[in-house]
Amino acid sequence: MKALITCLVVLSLIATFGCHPKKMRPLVEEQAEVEKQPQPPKTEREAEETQPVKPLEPIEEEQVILDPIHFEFDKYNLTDEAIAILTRNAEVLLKHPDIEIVIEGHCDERGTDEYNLALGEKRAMAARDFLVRFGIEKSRISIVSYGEERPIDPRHNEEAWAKNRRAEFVIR
Amino acid sequence: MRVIPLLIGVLLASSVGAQPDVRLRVTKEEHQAIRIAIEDSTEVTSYLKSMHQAFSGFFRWALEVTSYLEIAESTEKGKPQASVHLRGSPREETIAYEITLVDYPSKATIFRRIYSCSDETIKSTAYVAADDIIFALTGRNGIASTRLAFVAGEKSKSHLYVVDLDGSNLRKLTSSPGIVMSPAWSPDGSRLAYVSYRQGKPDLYVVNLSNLATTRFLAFEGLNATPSWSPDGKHLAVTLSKDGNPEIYIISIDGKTIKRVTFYSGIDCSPTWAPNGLEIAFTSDRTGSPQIFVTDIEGLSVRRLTQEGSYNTSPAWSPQGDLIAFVSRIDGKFQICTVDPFGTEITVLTEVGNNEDPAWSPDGMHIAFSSTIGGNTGIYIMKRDGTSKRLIVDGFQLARSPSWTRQARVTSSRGG
Repeated sequence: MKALITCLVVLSLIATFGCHPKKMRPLVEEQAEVEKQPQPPKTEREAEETQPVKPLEPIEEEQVILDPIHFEFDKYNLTDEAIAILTRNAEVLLKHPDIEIVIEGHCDERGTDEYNLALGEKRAMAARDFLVRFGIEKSRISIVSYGEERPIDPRHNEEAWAKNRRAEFVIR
Repeated sequence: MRVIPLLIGVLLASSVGAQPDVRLRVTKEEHQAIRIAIEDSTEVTSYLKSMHQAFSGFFRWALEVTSYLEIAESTEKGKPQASVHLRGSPREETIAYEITLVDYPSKATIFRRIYSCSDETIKSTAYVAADDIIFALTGRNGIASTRLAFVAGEKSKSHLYVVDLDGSNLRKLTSSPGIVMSPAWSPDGSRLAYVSYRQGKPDLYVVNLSNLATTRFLAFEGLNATPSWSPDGKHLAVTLSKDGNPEIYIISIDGKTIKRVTFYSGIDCSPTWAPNGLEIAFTSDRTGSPQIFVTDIEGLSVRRLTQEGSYNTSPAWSPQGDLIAFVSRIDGKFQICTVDPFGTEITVLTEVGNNEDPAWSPDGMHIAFSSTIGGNTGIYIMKRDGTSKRLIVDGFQLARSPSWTRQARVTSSRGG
């Protein structure tokens, strides 16, 4: 859950600055190779062009970020906002054909546990069906409903409920 | 055991609207409790005194918990309609009770029976004696010896429990915390079906209560949820999404046959059997919002049961077949209601807090449900008319999804 929240924070920052999530290159390895090789003396111009390599935080794997989508109360149809996010997610998945995902369907705490379990399933299905129509192979996507059992915001108010009515995209 | 009496007020006088053929009824007292007096002329030695006090406590609780009877503290006050005369005689380490039930004001003896108990059988004997009195006065079985299954604990860290209605013999049936849902007691009381995520997704498990052997009964792709036992215990109606959508299926308990009952592209879930085994009520959003529908078990004819409101879920068919309890969203809160099998009259049974998960008592005269009326979500029971609400399961942060044993208790031999 913590990792997920971190992901969400990163995502919201990216969204704020209007960038698409990009494939990040394993810069650490390149840097290591560069340092090993003996370097010819640089001209001034070359020195200007080659920025000094900054210390980087270690990145174990390339990060692919898929935004969650949100739903109206007791609904599983996709809102315009959800469609925009799903389109971005689909583009990311098309760029990374090796990635398989689990779509988790969630509900807010209102309503009965059993109906919310089915509602969460329909939300996950709605997201999956969109991605499949976009060209993502169905075999890359599995779904699971958590109903109202896993809220990300435990409070009992509209703001929390809006956050909790969601589908999340978890990379397997 | 805490008991919370609740006054039931008038509700929903103004929200009856669009459907003139559907009547929405306010809750009201269906039956006046019978006032009984208890006269105790038991004389015991100090050694057996605590035993007698225990018997007396269990006996009174069993008489009162049905809410059919009300104990009058003295024959002088409150004009009792019957009296119970308790005459206990110590016999070494046991007490033999001669219990006489007398009608008032005629003073005719309804029955006189002997009940003998030892230290180990105080409670069961007291319950049997009380149930015999309840049966003699009302023609109904008591509920003191029934049990509840329920889910409790922080969400996604829950356990499955069973407990006697009096709060004793609490047992945890799951070994590690997780998402647990929808326990359903088999008609013979030997097994519980329930949903667990122990393998990462909602699968259906069946636990045998005699040895706690647990089997993963259904693990199709997607949902394996909302189990409901057929009245003969040979089938389970369930919700599966294996064919691309949450639909109702009937599966034989030997796992050999599976039959799809609903065919709709939206949500169908939460089946509950009619006691005749021929129909199933369920929740569906096929008309745009969740409503209660009834289908025959072949899935050939479907009718809509609830016409009022935009959110009606969790149907539970009464053992008598005359009512279906369900959850309805009323003014943004969730309430327990009942409706007859033809959808003509809806009765609202709760009005405070959020109330969910209705489950019928074996005699069909009571409904267990989860409620926030006491702050935390706890499990309560009430009479089928919404009166006499009592907190049964307390002390958990979140106790929900009660299932009540279905078999009526075997009452004692009705000898002289």
